[in-house]
Amino acid sequence: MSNLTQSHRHAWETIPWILNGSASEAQTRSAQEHLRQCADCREALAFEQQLREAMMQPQTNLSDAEAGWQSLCARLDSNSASQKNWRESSRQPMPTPTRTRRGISARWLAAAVIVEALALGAIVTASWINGAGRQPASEYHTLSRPDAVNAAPTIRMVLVPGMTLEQFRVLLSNAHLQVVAGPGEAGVWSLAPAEDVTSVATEAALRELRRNPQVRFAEPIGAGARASPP
Amino acid sequence: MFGPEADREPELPRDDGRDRELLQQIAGGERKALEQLYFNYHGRLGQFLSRLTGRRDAIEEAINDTFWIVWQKAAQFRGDSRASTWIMGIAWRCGLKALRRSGPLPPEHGEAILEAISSVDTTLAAEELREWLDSGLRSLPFEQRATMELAYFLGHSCEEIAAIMGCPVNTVKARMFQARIKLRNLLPTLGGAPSREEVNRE
Repeated sequence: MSNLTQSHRHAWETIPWILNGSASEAQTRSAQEHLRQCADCREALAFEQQLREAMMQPQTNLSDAEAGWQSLCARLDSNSASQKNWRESSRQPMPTPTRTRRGISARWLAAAVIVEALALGAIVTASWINGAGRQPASEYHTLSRPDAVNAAPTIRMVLVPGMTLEQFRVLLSNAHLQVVAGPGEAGVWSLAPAEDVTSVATEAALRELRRNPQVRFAEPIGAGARASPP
Repeated sequence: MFGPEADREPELPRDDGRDRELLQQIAGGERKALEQLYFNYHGRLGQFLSRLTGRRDAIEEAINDTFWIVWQKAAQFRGDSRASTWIMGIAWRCGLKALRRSGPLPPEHGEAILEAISSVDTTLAAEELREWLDSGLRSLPFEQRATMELAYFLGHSCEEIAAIMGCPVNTVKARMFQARIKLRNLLPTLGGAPSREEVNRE
């Protein structure tokens, strides 16, 4: 093999694939042309042919196919039973989540947090953009918190006993007054003009109160007293 | 030029449509198809593996593992190779695994092979011929022996052997080249093969 030319080596390497039928037609034709002229390759071909024939002789100590098949069937059956048991057990509620389920839940939770954060960010941004120049929101009042009354009382009033709450509300509404304090121990109510009424209207308010028979006493306080004696 | 033996069909048919059909049926869970494929391949696999390990328990284990995987993975066969190439690739890996567990047969020394060969009559009986050949093959490195088996016994092409063994085509060519050179030196008159002088006189 020392004087291998390229075609010689190519033909020699192709011999096994020619013998087993996997060489292409071109490879076979090329090798045949070389073999006509090369005794070494013809000898190699004869030897390889014998070698292949010998290798294809049946072996005697092979395993038993039937026993092997039964062994495989037993393995398949065992696996099927295991899978069935697993499926049935997987239908039962799990006392603790599996690692995979925990992983999935954690991923969903993380995704939900991200979505929530994005939504909040969008809302804040939108509010900031749309709310520029807008008046601040009105102060929040609870029902138990009395309205702040900054007005000073201008009228003291004493009622005849027996006036209903609805009559009292109508009286104040018609006189455009609000309660500032009272009633005291003597039954005196301290009244002031309603928010939308100026102090100029005190006299009219007194007239409205005094006209009502259920009002026993109505008198101005301070400057109001000088303005309109009954 | 090559004679009637050379024109004989290789061990594995080039058209493996039936094997593909069986694999499709196996993918659908048909155990009957697996049974047919198992018995179709058992002899080839047993012989291929027996020359790789020579240990009966390892052979049975490797065949069992091979068809276990075929049963599990049949749906993954894409059909871009012969079905036999795909199955033999699985068998090769299962054989390697079984060998790692059980250990291969110890390679025989060249001197022992030569001594055995020199004592053999040139008119060998089939049994003696096989033993002689087996001794020669066992003297080869494991991968070279498997390459010879896949090519000569199972009839796979160079490219298919590369796919089965998971190596480049050039590696297959190199293994085949070295194996043939070694066997040519160890088995000069295999089975009454004509000597160089006889060939030259033709």
